Amino acid sequence: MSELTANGLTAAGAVPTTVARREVDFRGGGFLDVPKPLYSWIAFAGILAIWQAAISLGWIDPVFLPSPAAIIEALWQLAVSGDLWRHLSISLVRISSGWVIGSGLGVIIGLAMGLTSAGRAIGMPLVSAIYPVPKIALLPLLILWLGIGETPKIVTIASGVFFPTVIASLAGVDGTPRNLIRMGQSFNMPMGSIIRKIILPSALPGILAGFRISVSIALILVVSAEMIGAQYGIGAFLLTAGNLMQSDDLMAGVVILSILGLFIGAALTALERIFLRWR
Amino acid sequence: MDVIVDVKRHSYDQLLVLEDIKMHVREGEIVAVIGPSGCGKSTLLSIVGGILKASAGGVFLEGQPPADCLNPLTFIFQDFALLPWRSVAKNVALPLEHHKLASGELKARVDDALQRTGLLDFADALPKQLSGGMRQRVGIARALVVRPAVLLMDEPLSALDAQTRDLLMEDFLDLLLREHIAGIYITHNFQEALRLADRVVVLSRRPGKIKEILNVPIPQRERKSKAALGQLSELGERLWSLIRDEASVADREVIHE
Repeated sequence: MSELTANGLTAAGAVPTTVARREVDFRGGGFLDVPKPLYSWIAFAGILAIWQAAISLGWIDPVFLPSPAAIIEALWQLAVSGDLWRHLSISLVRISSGWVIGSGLGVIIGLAMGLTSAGRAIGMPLVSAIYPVPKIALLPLLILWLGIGETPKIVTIASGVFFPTVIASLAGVDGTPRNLIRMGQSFNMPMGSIIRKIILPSALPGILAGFRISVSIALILVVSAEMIGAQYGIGAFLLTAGNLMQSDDLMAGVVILSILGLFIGAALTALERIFLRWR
Repeated sequence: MDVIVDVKRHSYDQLLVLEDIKMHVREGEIVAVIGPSGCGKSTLLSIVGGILKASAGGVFLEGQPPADCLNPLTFIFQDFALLPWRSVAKNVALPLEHHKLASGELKARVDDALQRTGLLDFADALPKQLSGGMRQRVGIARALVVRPAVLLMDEPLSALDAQTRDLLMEDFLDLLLREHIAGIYITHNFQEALRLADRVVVLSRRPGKIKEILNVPIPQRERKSKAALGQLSELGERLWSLIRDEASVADREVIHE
């Protein structure tokens, strides 16, 4: 045995003779998010390569799943012929009109519900009752009320966007730390200043998160609405391509929607970077 | 300007929190309030500051605040209550923005408050870029900018580490004495109470009542001297004896609620 000092430690210089020394095992690895951007690209390229190979080797019938090369070719033809812009521009007008109206009203109503007891008492049961209804189910009724044309499609998108925005804005107001409001009150800040300078900036992250959800909903609804009753638009294009078994055009339409979603997501990320720099 | 507290009763629904609190804080005087957890110290401060309304009784002011005072009763918060999206200077300017001040005066007041709290070099920083001690300095600067008559401080140093607390306490004390600002200081910490206060109000466990008011008969600037240490130690023991049993019972009450 090694010699121990009064405090129980091995005396300096003494080497334990009977007890083997071993290093403590490291157990803290894993469960960490390490960025690996190369993996994303390799996986993406791999899937495309396997997909292309499966078609080229005849494993999959291109009528059911066209090859990536065929989809790119279809996209090119759409762009060259001007069809891409004709369909896309109409869909973009519908999405942007519906989204601006729905989210604008949603923010106003959500803030009114969050800031006033009366607003909450009136709005909460209505929102709870109508929010779960799939808004596309209202399109036939809206066509009956508003006629065939752009208005029912835009209203359908606006109604789909409205409810998640209301809920996000309400949650944003509710999430404002109580101590910040008390701080404002303790300095006799008028209610308008407290709302403008404390509550709104505090609710903004929640509202922007709501926008991210509502934009996805707007994309789903524009395609659905255009499939039900439209001559032009990405949804109408997809439906026509499906009916004609033009799977390369159909997949090209899906790719356009995916790229559109990515662009909108990137725009929202840029907005968050500008307005939420403080986070 | 004096503050006269006469809270006969305050309750949350059926729960009586404060009872028969009478105290008089004179101009320039610093009063510490200590008591066991849940005895209603923070509630009392909110009532004094007009954030809560007492169930019975009230708080009264006598005399006039300083001529340039924009908010006679001004809070300094335990959690700093800074707006994370505003820079230090803009946080400090916040309480001035709804007053009709000339832009030159607003800037002069903000710069003065930043200078007095050692924050001039951090005017453009965001709160997240500052340490806890520096954030509380911003809270103090924001309170000073309105030239308060009475500072209402709810455990302003309790969120800080021991070293920062000691450093900030000395700066804080220096500031209060120099500016002749009265203060009500809520704390759990006897050392802080005895370092800062002219009088220490001891509250009983809930419902909080005044159990005793201790005078600290040594000027604040002399309390670090060796001669004062013995007397302060005796006062500390006295405070502890007043609060020990109450704190023990209150702790069990809080746990079992």
